[in-house]
Amino acid sequence: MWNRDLADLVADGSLRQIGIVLEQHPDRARLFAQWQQMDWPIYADALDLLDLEVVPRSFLLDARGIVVAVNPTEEEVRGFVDSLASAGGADPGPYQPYGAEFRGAHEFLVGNLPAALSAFGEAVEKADDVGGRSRARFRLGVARMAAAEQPNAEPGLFAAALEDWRAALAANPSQYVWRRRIQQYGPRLDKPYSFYDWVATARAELSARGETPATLHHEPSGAELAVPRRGTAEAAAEALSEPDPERRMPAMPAGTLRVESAVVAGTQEQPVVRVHLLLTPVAGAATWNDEGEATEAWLRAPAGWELVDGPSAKIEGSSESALGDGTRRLEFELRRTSDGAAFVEGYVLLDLCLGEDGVCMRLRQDFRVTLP
Amino acid sequence: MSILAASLLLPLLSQGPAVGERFPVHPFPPVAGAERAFGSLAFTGKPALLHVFASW
Repeated sequence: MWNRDLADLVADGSLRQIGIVLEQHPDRARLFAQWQQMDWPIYADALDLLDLEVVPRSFLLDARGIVVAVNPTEEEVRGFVDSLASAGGADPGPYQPYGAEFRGAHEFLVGNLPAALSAFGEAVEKADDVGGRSRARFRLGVARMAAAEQPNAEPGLFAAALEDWRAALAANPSQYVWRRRIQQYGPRLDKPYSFYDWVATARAELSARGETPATLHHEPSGAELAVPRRGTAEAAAEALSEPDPERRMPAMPAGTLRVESAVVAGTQEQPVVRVHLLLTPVAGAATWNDEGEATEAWLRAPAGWELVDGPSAKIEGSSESALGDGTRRLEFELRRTSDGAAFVEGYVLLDLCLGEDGVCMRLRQDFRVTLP
Repeated sequence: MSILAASLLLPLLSQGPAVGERFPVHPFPPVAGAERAFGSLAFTGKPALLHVFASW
């Protein structure tokens, strides 16, 4: 009961329907709204300023903006709209100016990310209670993730955002809106369902309707599309051969590729982690060669860990896993089986075009990622 | 501090504004179907059903 059921009341002008989405990437809700034919205004609250711990939730408001029911039935909405009470009581007066408790929020909402990052960082430091500090930490993570997806982003923001969300959730584990934000990037064992598999269906159905699907600024990728894994890990059944066992591929020249990593643990104590390798060609030194082969990692299982999907991981295609500024994300999962190594090692093979001459070649980049 | 201990320090689940409260206004940017940021005019003047949701 929330879209077409009340269309007659909206059409005759007796009710407004309004949406607010609590997502890191609100443009995905634009595609969702187009697909579901929601023709009412939708706004974005990526910071969860409404302080909701679960969604969806519906609020019936009178004409003065006072909440009269939460999660009302269709009958309750129709009955209220027909009643005199729908006009509301006394005028509650103008809204108060945006208060100090929302410092950073205004800057974030108008797109001033540097100011938002600074304000949220201060709020984390100055908060004198667990709740306030965890809210500020979550919002700092939202701003950092948004900044990580900007062109020329500073290194380390992606991993820092995930750490902010982990710390915030640790202080308030019942906060499911925050939990979903981590799960968006976390191990499949920790996922209740695939978060964004509806995107492909929406695009296909919109195209079939003769509509152009709304553009997404950041394509869902990797963990965001992954389906949940249940039970114990099983190594990939297919026989795989190591692509460069004798180190014959040319090594990545120094100063060509920036490699960052982030390790996301499950939110429910499972001994599984999802590793994100962020690969960014250094501006002026290299660019991606999308006519080459898929970017591929070969992993060595560290002692005390097993590789959930086997030793190989790939980025298929050119658009997947795109963060800002040409960054692509390669992801894989490990399960802890006993006390063991503190890091995972491997190498990535990727196709780049180097320098001004644009010589394109497949190169090898070794890596080591510290595990929790 | 354990997760459980930390959670005990917090109030009960936050479910947003309660019945009888004024719905808070923040300058949420428009995603679809609106040109201006969310404001009090978005729901004053006539009753409104406001849905808070996520597409995931």
